[in-house]
Amino acid sequence: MNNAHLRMGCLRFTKVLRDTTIDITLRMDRMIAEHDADNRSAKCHLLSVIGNDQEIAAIAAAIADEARFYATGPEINRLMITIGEGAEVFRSSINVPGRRRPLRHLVAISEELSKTRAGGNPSARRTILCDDDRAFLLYRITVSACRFYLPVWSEWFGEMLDRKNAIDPLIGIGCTPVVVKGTKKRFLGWMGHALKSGAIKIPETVSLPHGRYRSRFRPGCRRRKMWRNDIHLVRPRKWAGRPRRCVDEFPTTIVDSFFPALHSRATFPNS
Amino acid sequence: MLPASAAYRQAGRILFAPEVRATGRPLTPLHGGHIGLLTTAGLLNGIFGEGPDLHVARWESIKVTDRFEETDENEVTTIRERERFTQSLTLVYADGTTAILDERSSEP
Repeated sequence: MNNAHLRMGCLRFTKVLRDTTIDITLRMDRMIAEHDADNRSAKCHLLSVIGNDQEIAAIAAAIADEARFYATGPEINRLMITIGEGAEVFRSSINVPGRRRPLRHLVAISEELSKTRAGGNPSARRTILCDDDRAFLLYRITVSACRFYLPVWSEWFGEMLDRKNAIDPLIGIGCTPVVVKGTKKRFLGWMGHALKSGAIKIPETVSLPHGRYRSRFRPGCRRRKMWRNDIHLVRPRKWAGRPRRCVDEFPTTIVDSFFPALHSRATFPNS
Repeated sequence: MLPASAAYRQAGRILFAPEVRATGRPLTPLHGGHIGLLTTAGLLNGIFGEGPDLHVARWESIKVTDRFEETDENEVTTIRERERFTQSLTLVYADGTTAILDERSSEP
């Protein structure tokens, strides 16, 4: 994982009033955006920024006001974004040791992304996802489109999305978002044809895993194989001379606190 | 610290959609009514049957919007929308037969 200043982006909000100008620049750790048809601006689906009380309050008010922001990031030049109508905003405080006041954290989700929850919009023609991992793709599509999550079908489903040109990458900071195009009936049709042709099978002995696939973002920004080899990053100095152990042998609290997704991935049945 | 913040925890329900997990052993055997409640709540989704009847079943609650339009004698049209929840069952059989059963479907 890169240092924060290399992987985070910036969100800038400027508003000129009669007698003053509001100019706020905040650090942004995650963003999902999609170019508009005119290719000049972008529709933002996910925004996660940190700042102080006043800055976060101003950003929350601007989101409610459907204002425009300017986003910059590691692979993104200046991009004008708007989150649109009906956005959901979540706020929290983060206590940082050594700081007198806590940091404020704001996560905003667009209306379209918020409807990808289970049963939100069953007739949706596309689904925005925050990760492009194949097992995660199948899991989220099954949840949003009332489908079955059989991990053995992940590879097949990913190949079908590629073959049918039903998946497109989106602009992302801190994640690798994609948009999956297709309706509930379309995906069900794929499954029916694949079962008929024998490309996939329903396993007789395995029960459906109730999805505890992943509940948090992957710690890395981009596709990166970091799971086992990067554990030395969290080895305290007192362990320096000891032989390196595998991930599962590390205390759960250490693994969870530094690499939350690592532990969940390690316990995932078919990972 | 950021991935563990309360804001991400709330947003994670939308972004990652963790499924509800129900485990345990009931104190008394379940009756038909109990089974019906559990299935429609989506807590008994899974693989059922064997041989030609092998299939995957998934129940889900979905929100539907009923729309009513009324026009009075002054030709003023009033549109009313009422949201409610209903259940949907999706079936996929091992031979490739698929079906979505909900209140609108008359037959599988």
